[in-house]
Amino acid sequence: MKKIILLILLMCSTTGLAAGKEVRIGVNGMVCAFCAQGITKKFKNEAAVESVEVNLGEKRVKLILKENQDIPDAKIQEILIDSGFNVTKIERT
Amino acid sequence: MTAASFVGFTGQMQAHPTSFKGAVGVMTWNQPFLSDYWVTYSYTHYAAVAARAMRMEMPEGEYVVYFPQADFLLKRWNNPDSQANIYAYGGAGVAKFLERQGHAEQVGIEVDAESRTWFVMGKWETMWSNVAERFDHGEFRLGLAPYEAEFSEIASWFMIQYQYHPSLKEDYVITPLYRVFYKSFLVEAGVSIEGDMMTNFMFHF
Repeated sequence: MKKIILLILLMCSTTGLAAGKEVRIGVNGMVCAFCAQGITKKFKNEAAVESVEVNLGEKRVKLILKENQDIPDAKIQEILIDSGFNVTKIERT
Repeated sequence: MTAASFVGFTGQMQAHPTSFKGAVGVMTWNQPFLSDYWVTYSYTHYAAVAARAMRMEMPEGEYVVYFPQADFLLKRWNNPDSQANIYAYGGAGVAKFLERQGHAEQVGIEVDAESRTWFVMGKWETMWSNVAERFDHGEFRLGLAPYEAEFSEIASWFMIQYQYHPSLKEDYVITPLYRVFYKSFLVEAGVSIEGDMMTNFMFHF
């Protein structure tokens, strides 16, 4: 029984995390590079993030993650909301 | 800070009353009849504290105020190809006018909307003081970008600005201007129809 509970807890704790080296984030409201500088600054402070690429034309932020590291969806949402924008989708490859 | 330290600075572009969480902003607007300096700290993306100083050239002489200010993003619309915002701010501090010292209180509201190629902004602020007459300041801006700058490129905008401030030496001013920004640094320069220079700077870190 304990093993089952531990397994369930483990599964819950990894919800929103996915293995992958690249995260593509759709973002609404990102029309001005001057206003979006906070995005790169905040993601670069994350230990799991190797590099950040913002593309205004495609309305997306791309994160390259460090090997064997990940960043939860909730953290991505938090950073973009703190930067003043809305997340439309998060895709991992 | 003395009035002389404002020389070379005056004016208004749309401010960024709040920025991303943890951001520090330094903004100056500079025209011969009006100077405005802001240093802001955004403790969330929708609220900031600021230190602000202004110099205004009234018909009777120079009017200077210094005050702490609270800034709020009241509403933001994040759309796929545009963004719109409503900001409000207010503060109270020290005023100096014709060798008299007193207090001043100020409130303002600002509304803007922009895409990657167009920009529109309107603002109104009012300041009361026991040493000078009420200062009202309205401003309206339209802007067009000649190209859609990417995140890592230099962005350029052509804008026209209308200012209305009936208590100043020049009660209304129309200024065509050019805006350029790269990463966190923004510069604007223009010359009004009456020939007054405008130079504005904004930096976030």
